[in-house]
Amino acid sequence: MSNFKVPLIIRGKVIEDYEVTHVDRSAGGRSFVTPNAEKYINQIVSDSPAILRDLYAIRFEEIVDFLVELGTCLNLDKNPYWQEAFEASCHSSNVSRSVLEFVYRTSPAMFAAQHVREVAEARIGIPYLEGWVPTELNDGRTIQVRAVGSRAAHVIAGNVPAVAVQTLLRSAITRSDSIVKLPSNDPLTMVAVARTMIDIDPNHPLTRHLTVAYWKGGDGAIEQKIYQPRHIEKLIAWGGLASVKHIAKYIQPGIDLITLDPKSSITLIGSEALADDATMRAVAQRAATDIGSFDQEACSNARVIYLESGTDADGIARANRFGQHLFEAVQKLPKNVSAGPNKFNPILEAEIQSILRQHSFYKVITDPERIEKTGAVIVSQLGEKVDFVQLLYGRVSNIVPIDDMNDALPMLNTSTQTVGVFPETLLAQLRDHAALMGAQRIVSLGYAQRGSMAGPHDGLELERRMCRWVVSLSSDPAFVPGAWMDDKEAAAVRQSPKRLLTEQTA
Amino acid sequence: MSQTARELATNSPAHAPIERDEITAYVDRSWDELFGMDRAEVETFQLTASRRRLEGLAPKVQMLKAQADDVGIAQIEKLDDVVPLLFQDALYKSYPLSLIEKNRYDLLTEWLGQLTSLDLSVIDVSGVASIDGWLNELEAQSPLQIYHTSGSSGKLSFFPRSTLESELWFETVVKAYAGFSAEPGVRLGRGGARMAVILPSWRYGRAVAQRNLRFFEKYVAPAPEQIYTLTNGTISADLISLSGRIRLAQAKGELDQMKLSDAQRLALKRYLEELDRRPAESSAFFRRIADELAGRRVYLQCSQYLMYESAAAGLERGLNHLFAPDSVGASGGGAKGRELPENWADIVSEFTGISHWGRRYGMTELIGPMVRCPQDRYHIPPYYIAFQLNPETGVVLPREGVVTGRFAFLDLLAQTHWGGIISGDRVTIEWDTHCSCGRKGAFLHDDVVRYSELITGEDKLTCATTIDNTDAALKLLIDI
Repeated sequence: MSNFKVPLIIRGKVIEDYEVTHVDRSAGGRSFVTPNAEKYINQIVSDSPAILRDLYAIRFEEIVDFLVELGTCLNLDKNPYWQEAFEASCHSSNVSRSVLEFVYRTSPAMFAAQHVREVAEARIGIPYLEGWVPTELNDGRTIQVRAVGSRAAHVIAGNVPAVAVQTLLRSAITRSDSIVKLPSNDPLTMVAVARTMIDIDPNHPLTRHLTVAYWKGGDGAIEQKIYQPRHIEKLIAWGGLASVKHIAKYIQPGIDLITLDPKSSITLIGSEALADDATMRAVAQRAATDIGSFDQEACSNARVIYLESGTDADGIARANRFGQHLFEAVQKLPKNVSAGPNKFNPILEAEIQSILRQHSFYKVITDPERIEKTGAVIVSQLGEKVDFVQLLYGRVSNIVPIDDMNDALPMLNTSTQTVGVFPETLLAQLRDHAALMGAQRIVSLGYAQRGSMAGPHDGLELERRMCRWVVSLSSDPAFVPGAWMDDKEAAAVRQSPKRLLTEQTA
Repeated sequence: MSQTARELATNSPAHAPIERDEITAYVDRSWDELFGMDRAEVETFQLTASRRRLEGLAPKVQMLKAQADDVGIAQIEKLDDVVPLLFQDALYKSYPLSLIEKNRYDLLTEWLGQLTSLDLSVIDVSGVASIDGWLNELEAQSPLQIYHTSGSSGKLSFFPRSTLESELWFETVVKAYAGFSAEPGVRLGRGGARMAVILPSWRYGRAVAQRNLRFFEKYVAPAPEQIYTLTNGTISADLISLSGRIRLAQAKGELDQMKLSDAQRLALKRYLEELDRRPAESSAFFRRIADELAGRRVYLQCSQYLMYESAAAGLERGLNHLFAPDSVGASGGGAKGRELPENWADIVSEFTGISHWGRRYGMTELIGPMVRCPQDRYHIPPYYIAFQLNPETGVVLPREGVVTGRFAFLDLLAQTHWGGIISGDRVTIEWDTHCSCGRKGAFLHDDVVRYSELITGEDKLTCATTIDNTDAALKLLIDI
């Protein structure tokens, strides 16, 4: 897979004049070719939200029907585009093949009818998508609100192929027009989705409102043309500073920027976990799942574990025993959940090697000859995170012994996405504090990767943000005093018996 | 002894000098001898020497013994046996940062003690409350000479060398100017030519350039005032560590929790005062040089980037062809991620008047620079045993043909500590080619780059928290 092709897909048309070669240095110099997006810029952008009109000629259930068909067609055994995306991910992603295969087989289930309806209903409320929803106000007037689709550009993340599927789902239910800029570490998943949609029906409104393109992030010639208020109303950027750095200069009134920053997640385990050996193993298995799932490539993965073992000699010994169980548990995870990354960061490996024999500071539990396969558990003997905590990937975790769960609470901040906790009582106990301090998900240990699109994402109501929320408010001067009326006229309107027959009073 | 006096007195220990053994004595041999050795001769010397190093150091350097025991190598049968014994360069910063934050210099001394053959168990660091203070105590109470470097992570690495290795370093630096075969050379150092010394950097400190400067003061400059530095200040390890800590705290998302110790606050204050003085000192530096050294023979050493910056600034002030053409110049040190214009060398030559620039490849991890030959190659002296490793697997690559890989080596000049290190550099070595300059032996191409610069992962979005650079002023310190 040395030089593969990433077509440009513009609203139902596949463009394949491959002119530009992009080299992905971090994937060992592997390259892919794409058309020159700049050449097609006038087709990529739209001049008016009027283009969304055809999305309003179909009902929500028709959107569901199309997505269900799409989900069925994204079949890894039968769909060549999906297969190609999978193979490309195996090369560009750091996630192992067996885990990726599981992702490509299961993520299309997000398009199941029940799920699509559940997300739309829970996040927005289907009536808002379909029409104007009335709410009676205290003053008797009725406002009507509708959630209308917008023209959006998405700069999506590439570490999790499911992001492409989620993006399409959100775009479809909100009836948005989406221009998706592909990341170099997953250039084909969204392409596969788009091509499958074209194969199903090239003229379907959903197909006609998806554009998928690759250009190098920061390419001013292209971005300057797309990120303009007359072309887009929403800009959804994954990736934090790296991508926002390029985009920041385009932010102006008329463009609503939604940033989805990289996150870190933490694990809090109370002393109950260390009650006896059997409990330790069971808890370790759950913690291992949060560490190893998706080969630790996702924002929701655990990396630092605060363990209420105590920090005296006995406590550290307990923490070391737990660490051993944790390491063994990671090895036992099912292969479709965790199999070890494709590439292990050599800098991380050097750091681990360098502390391997620093016994007074760290207990390193690993197979030193095969760190990249087994990962490692590092138990901090002095009760502090390792200095290279930001490098923790590849199923490497750091157990930090603490005396009391309260000692870990200052670690929660606004870049904390998931807090995995054990025992269950901690969930109710900590969630208010965690929420206040900025954490976005508080979950039971072992379930960090079991999220749901029916809930908010990273503290945001993404689907609602992708809509434009419009108010319709009708007022009849016969029943509602206008600001231009003098007191006498206004009083007369208020006293009119006819008003009692209507819903409008003021 | 007062703090300042101690700082000035680095390299003047109150301890008996450490004798060179037969291996380190090789540094006294001429280039004609060293680069006249056949490969078989070199490898015989290296095999014998590496055995001696292991036998001599393993009993005293705990980290070496522990590693040798773990990998099951009690003695060296063949050169490749050295590879499993090489230390990760990260080993020299494998202490928890919190030890510094909590003033646990006792534990830090214990940690350092595992990396040197010198006995640090009798050193008393009670009352030490700063890194600079710690280093001062270590050097006052033992023959230790610590070289620190912050690398790209911002966390300080500490290399426990001794007074002996410091001397050897100076020897190799001046040796770099010695001639080979028909190539002319300049003899600098003991008994050699004397000339003013210019180092556009700090005057004092524990980085390589500053340590060597102490010897230049004594053996090359005609008088101590004939040392010209950009600032008379001292590099503060506390300040470098602070800047690194800021970066790391940001990366961990803990910047709001950072508290400065008194020592750090003091160091920061002194730095900001120095920063205030800097423009004046800078002007004074250029003025002094223009006034006192114009047309004179000088020794000028500088990193490439800083040399270019100084030259550009100097030319702007109307200074050019400043020094006598028989002056001695040397530059090295990669651009560290910054761009140099293509004609930078011409700009430097125009400013300085020095047409021949010695180009050097070196690092804090290796005692002494490697010299570039007229064919633009860095020839490896026999006292460095070079290896190349697969950058991902760590497996040693064959020492034949033309090979690109991670540079690792056993530095035989390290006599009081284990000189075996795996570096972060990608190098290309030609093992069998005969270089037309006449030097025998393997050489490096002039295209060394750090692996960390290669893994930038452009246009990739992942979860890793991004590291912002905060204080530009602090960054400036690191760059010198």
